[in-house]
Amino acid sequence: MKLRSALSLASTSLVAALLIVSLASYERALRRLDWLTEVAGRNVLLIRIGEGGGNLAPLGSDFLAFVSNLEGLVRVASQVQGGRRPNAFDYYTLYVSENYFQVRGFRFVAGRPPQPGRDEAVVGFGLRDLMGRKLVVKGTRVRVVGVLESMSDRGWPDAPLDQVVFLADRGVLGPTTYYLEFESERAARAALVPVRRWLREHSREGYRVQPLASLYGLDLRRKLRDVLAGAISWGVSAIVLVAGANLATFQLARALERIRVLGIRRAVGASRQDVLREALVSATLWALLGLTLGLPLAYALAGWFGARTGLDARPTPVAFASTALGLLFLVLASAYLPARWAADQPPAGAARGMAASLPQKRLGLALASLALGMAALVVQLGVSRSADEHTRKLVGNLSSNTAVYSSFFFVGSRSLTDPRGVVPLDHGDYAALLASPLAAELRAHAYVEAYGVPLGGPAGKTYTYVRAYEGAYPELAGARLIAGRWPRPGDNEAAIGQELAERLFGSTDVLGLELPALGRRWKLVGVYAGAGEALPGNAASDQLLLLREDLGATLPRARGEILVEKNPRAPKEIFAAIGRFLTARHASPELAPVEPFTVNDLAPEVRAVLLELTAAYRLLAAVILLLAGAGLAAQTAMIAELETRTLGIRRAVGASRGRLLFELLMPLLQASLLAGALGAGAGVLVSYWVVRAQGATWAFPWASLTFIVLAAPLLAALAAALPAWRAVRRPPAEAMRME
Amino acid sequence: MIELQGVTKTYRKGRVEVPALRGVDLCIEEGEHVALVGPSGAGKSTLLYLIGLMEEPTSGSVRLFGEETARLTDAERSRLRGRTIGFVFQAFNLVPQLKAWQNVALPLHYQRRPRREQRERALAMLERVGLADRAEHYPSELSGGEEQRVAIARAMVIEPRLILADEPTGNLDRASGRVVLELLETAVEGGATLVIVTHDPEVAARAGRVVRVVDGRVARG
Repeated sequence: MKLRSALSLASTSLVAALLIVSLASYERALRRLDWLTEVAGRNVLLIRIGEGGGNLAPLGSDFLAFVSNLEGLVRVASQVQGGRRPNAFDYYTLYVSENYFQVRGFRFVAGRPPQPGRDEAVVGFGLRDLMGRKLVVKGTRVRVVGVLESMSDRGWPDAPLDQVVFLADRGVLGPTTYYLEFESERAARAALVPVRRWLREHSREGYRVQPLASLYGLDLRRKLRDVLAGAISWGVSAIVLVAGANLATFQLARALERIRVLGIRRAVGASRQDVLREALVSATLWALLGLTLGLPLAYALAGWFGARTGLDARPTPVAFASTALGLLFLVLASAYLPARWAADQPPAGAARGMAASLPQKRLGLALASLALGMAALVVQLGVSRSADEHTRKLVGNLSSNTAVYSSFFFVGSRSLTDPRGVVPLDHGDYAALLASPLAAELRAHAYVEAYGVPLGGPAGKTYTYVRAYEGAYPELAGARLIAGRWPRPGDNEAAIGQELAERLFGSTDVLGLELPALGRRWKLVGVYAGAGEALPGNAASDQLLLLREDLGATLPRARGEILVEKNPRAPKEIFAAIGRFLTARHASPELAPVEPFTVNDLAPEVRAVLLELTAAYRLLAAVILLLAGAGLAAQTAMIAELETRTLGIRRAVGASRGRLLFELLMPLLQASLLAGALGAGAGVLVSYWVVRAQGATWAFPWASLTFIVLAAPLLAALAAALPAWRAVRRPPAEAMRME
Repeated sequence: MIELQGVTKTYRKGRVEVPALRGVDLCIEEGEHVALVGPSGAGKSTLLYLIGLMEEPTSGSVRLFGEETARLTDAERSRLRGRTIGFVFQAFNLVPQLKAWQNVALPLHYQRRPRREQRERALAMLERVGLADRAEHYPSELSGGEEQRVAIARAMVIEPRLILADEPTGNLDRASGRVVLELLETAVEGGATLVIVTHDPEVAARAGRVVRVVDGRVARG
């Protein structure tokens, strides 16, 4: 088989495989992103004990009667925390109502829900070994009849449920959480106001109501889904475009190669229709052959992707069927025009062989596909970098050298019943850390106490966090000053988040104004921009920052957080070591240590999809470039063959092989450099457009751009070297004998 | 000047070996005008291409201007060919994408002469062959006779020591053929050696020596 035919078939198969893998990963990634927004419980309101104190007894039948009249309510579920015994081995338990699993959307990987009135239990995925066994929980012997799916992929609010034993509600008293499921997200949102009003009117402000989805950062998931879906659909479009351009050049090459044969056929009586039909039948067979070879290649490619990125890109029936139809269309469309052109040539001219200008046009097409490949690669880089940047912006601008040790308990609390083993961090822990040898590995550090408080201003009021800090907190938490300065000690100064300023004062022009909080008045000396979502460690835009020193002492209901930034050269293990150090100060070292929260732990479930797709699309873009390279190689081979006679003439008048090789490759290298630069430029623009269209922050890894632009001529040189060398090493006399 | 000893050349076509030359011994002196004649497929063109360093012999020795060509590298062969040998082919072999003057200047281009010099010498040579007014035309815009005169101008622009012509009049009418021959003979008068492959007895008759090639061998030399 000729080199060109082999390259052409290989490219068709590669196109088929790429399309199958891209579509399959597109299908799965979108499904997963959709699932992440689904599991957040968009139609569910969460009612649980807040931080305001007051009557914390269960809401009772009056409340249930009230909610049953809410418009669009589907069902109500409840959960009572059973906790676990401190300082001893025990299972963490939750007593749940009959429809709890349904409302929460928890699926069973084995067994069934517990039946009311029977001593049955369901366990989280981490306890799946207990399935079928009998346990003694809270003094009662229960049989495990079901195992839930793993919750770790659903996001951090649900992750601890993997270690929980769920028991049927039997009227146990304890902190109760209610889940109200509505027909739609709109109905759930509409019910927020009447539920709040009911709680206020019945003096039950100890309970807070919020959309369940807000716990999961649904907005963040949605925004990232949009950005990623844009990136994915661009990736697929780029592959289709490059594939189409390549197939068109191959078909053109085939038509040109066959033009003399077609001329002879027409001379002996074939009509234009006969010629067209033959071309299309041949193209169809070509597509089927490519598809047949493409399927095993797709499985191999998917396996390779899976091993490299963790992305599940195994071919799906939909992906295969779409690819089969798409490839057939691409091949037929790209075969038709060249075949039509060939069929339109006068038989005498065709029989002699002609169309000297066409090789240049085909090379133009090949270079266009190289430019497209470049653009695809650059768009992938831009979009994935932007998505990462956007995530950072939304969840806080933590550097990759920063870790946060966050407390789930109020300072001074002594409860050890949390299955996560998290200890209540306080200022003493911070001081001890700074006095320890571990401090030598730190570049910067801060301690902050967060207080959940209601705040009010002329434009409105809200419930948010006031963060009283010590050390380099604004820097570590990624807060950016947009007006004024950071507070100075001794003057009761505070910096207000941009969003909070808008909410309380209706503008960010608030410098010099005063804001009452925590029992005193704070002078606003700075306005900052922070994260869009409040998460451990970050300074969100709807919060207030002030100096802990000005508070004088730790106030009740403070949550302590320690932030550290390690020296750039210090190993990452330092974060775990600090976690163990802090845990050991509070309790038995056998408890799970305080886990460091790093930038990658923020919204990990969404970030995981992002990282996988980023890696997968970088690989795909690289394969697109290979495809473009194969196209270039095939076109160079074709041109070299058509130019062989001319090469012979040039050799006859004194050109050496090296000189001819240079003359063949140089224009190609120049053109590919131009194509690469144009493709990269277009890619930068398109990535900007795609990202901005989603309303996300655009960012680009500029350092990679030079390499990418230089990669085009390198690829062209590699692709063209072999066919060009084959052409110039042919003896001139033999070359000149060729037609 | 040209010395061939025991030269053979065998082509491989698929699995079949086709001998083109079966042991040629030939000597051509500087300034000679030699005609190679013989039936089709006898090996005349192969012999011409071997002399012109366009091919390498399967065995035997080809000495050109006192130099054993087997020892030359590709670059050295290319340089020797480009600076001392002018080719004229039956099918003209002009580069279709280049204008007439650019075709003539092609050997100078590979000698890396300044572009201005290339153009001046090419135009002067076209004037010598009577085609000054066709300098900016592409080969497809020229008649067969004009194309061949451009090819001769290309061969002569380097002031070659050796001109190799492969049936230069084969595709031309009698009048054009005569013009072409006269041009080639002018070069011989200037001191160049001319080796011409022909079927035409009239062309052969104008040569100083006729070498008959039959079945891959020199029958009379």
